[in-house]
Amino acid sequence: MIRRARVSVVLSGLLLVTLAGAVVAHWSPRERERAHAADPPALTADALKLAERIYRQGILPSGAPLRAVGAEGELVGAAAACVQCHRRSGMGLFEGNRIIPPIAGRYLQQPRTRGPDELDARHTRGPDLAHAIGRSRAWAPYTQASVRRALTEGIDATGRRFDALMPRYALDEHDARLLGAYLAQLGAERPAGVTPDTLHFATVVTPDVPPAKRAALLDVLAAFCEVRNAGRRLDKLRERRYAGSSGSTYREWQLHVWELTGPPETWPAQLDAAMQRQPVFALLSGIATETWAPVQQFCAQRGVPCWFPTVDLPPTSHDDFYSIYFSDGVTLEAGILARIVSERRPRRVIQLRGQDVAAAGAAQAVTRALGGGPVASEVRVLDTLSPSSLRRALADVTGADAVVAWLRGGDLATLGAVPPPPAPVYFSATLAGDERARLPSAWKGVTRLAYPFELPARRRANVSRFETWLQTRGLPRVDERVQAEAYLTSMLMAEKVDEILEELQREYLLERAEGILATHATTAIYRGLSLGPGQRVASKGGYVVRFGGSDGESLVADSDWIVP
Amino acid sequence: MSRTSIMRRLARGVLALLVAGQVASSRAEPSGQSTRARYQIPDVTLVRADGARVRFRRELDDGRPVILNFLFTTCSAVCPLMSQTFAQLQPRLDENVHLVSISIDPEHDTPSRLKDYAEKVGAGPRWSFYTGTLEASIALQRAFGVYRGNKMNHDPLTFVRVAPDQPWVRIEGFARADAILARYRRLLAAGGPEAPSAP
Repeated sequence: MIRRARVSVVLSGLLLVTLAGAVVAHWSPRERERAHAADPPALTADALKLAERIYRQGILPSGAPLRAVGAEGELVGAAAACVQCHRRSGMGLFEGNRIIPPIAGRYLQQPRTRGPDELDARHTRGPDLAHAIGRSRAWAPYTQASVRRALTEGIDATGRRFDALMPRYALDEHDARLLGAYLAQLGAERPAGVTPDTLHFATVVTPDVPPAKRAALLDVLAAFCEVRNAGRRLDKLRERRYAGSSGSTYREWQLHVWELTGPPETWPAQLDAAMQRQPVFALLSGIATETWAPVQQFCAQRGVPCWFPTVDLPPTSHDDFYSIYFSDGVTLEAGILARIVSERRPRRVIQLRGQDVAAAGAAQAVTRALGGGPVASEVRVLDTLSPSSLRRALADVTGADAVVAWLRGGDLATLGAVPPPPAPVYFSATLAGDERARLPSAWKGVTRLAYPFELPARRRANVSRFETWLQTRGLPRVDERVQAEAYLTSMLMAEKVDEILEELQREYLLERAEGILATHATTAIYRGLSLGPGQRVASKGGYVVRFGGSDGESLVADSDWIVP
Repeated sequence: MSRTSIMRRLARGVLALLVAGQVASSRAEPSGQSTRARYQIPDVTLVRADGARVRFRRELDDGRPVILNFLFTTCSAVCPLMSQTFAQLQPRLDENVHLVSISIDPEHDTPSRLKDYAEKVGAGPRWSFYTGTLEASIALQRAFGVYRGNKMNHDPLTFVRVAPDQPWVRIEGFARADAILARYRRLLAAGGPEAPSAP
């Protein structure tokens, strides 16, 4: 009974605060400017850095750790930092039945002037949006004094106590003022690449990408944008005609293709120049077969989201906030293979690779994972892939060994001239791509593939939706992974952009991405996609598969789902 | 069953109900509400933070009292507080009490990540962390009635069971260390491990 009663209280609370949230999201740019006129004075660049350090890292300007008293004792440093709950955007979070309210500037400062009659139905469809429901029912604008009281005594602007999750901070007046000024500017500026009518995105193509893959990706992205814009034009007319509001929620997507040239070390400068020519809100997709690290670095430095690119070798460090990936690509495959090899215990693992950067990274990851274990590992680098170099590399392989061949789809034809070794040969599904079908039939019996996707038989229903979409757009299926990822990345961006409405902050976009579910309706070729706060890779496992089925040509599981 | 044994059981039941009522009403916020339940724990294999693959039922039914919660290591707000509660409980509990935390984000929470997390929250030897397949984790969440479809929807909940033959006590909301400890002690006094029946 008590529980039920509480739920209804929470729900009615949600409804009321939804109204408040709607008011905020409806603020027109001019009204925002007016409201901000009363803001505390802007922080200098140095003060901003110091304030940001309190907010994000829990370090005070003196260098001492931030301290707070929570419900179960003291919190120190990073554990006490505001970002832990309110997130980098300051837009808050909905966790379980708890709302962590937004604390970005205008949510604390703006007076409430519009009535609930202006509630827009769009705001009720994202029930887990803290920003839309985050203001308390009894709400009053915060002043510098009440911000300090909130932080140090846990009492909000109306005199009410915060709940158990909000700690009481040990902050002196100077530091509290600094933090208050930081909150005031948080989310106040509209990011570059967002205009009242247009949302600019860029897709980065690195110079190593073969033309067919490049076209496969760009065709899907262009088709997606075209269809979305066509539909949105109508929405915009409707909005202007009937809703009478600012009309700025429906923006056309404009996709810019940023083609990189030359060596990777020159890419950050090229990206900076491109960004200066045409600022973009985010990088939508992108493609690389070799390194992607300079692009991730650019995104981290410029604070630009890098949204699910199709890359074979994502950087192994995921500490960076701005880049999110479908999977760890060949690094994940290396983890899967290291696990399976440790279980199946061959005498030796012989890894073959060419000069390919992704293959080198993958082979290194296997060596690292097997290091110190009972299975000996050896990498054989083929300067040129030819039947003779391959034959030499496989000459001493026995049935007690296992071979890992980091070869690309185009290389598989070479295998035809060489008899398969008397040992299992593990290939990379990421590198072999759709061309694995061209694997010589003599090799199929010994072939195993590290397969970081859902099994073909199980993903049919999921992929069919995407295939129907391709057909409707008149696009042939040329590269399942590249096309499916381009489609999925666009779908996810559309979903999240529509969710956050006028709160088009880059950090908030990424935080919304963290809420992607394992049970997302469309996961395309993946078994499941799931992120969480701070998580940057959505699909975390894979299988080892082999050729089987009634025709001997289908890919069937040779292992359980493995999460290395 | 002898008459004394029946009387003893009856008295124990009444006492337990009284205790349950007391806990539910002793807290100002309704989140302290607790209920007693017997859960059908599925026979799943989990992986402990130390890498050992274990039959989870055996882990639970090893005779020790259990205090259990569900969490995930990248959780922003709810889990850090629940873990802090467990950390506070640790030194105050009897030696044999088993603190159990099960990941509801098992594909991310690999044993090594759980190990790092355990270190971060100051977990000692009696506090174990478990991960496993997504299916196993969901099966357990369902069994305990905590499955919410998405890890971000999880509620703060704590489960206490003083002995394998006893029901679980399910405590809603942020139960503080003091409240859990008091609850555990009362349960132990009221309905600890079955005493041998009188002849």
